[in-house]
Amino acid sequence: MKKSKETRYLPSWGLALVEEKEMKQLGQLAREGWLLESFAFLGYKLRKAEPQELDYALDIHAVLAGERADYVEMFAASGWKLVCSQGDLHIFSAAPGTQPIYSDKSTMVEKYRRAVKRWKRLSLVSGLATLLAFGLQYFAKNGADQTIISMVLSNLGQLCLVFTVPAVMTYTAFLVRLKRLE
Amino acid sequence: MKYIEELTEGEVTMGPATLYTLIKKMQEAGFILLVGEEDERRKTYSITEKGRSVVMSEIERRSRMAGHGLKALQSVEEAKTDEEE
Repeated sequence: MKKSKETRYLPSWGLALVEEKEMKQLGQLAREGWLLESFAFLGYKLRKAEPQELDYALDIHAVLAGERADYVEMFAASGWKLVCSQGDLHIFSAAPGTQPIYSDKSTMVEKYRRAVKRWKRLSLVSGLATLLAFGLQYFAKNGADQTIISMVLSNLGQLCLVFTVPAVMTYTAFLVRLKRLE
Repeated sequence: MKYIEELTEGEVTMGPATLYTLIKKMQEAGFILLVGEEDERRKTYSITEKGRSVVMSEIERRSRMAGHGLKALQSVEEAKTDEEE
């Protein structure tokens, strides 16, 4: 864990898997004087500050640029302040006891339905790219001028696989979460 | 959200993520229409004909349901008093 005086890195185990746990953990760290500042690579960036009592909540919504102010304002009106966003993930903080951001089950189910849909598409695209690269490599291997093409394809396939595996894992985790909620 | 709470005398409170989801859904379904943006932060919507008829038929359906429930309860009460007599 990288630690400096002012900022600190907190690794994430994946919001699809441990959303509630990590939101609680962020609240605990805020009490200890480490406030969430932004998303970081596979984790969060925290900044040293006055200890605060805060609840954290995650929303998943693809918000268009023109809609952003409206979206953020709606949360602010009920006491939830936007802390940071990354893609369609948005983390809000509020004083403890503020009404939850989702007040009914059906809209909360839709939050995960959106996530499942998105990760399904990502998994399929990267999965197909992986298959394509390895498939082409298989044919290239049997061709005449094999080495370079087959090597490039093999690397390409491995690269795609590096994206596919976490994408499929995230998709599965969101799907399990959704099924449990429904 | 405050207005909803006031309107329902605190019986219905709505979280912002729920409200945002519902507004998007109602907009997609053509039940409401974005009419103006006084500024970027405050959007106003108006209900469409389609939206109004859906709400009205839902209100009617639910008050009919409440009526049926009431009737069922009354008939149980009547049966009870008949038995007692």
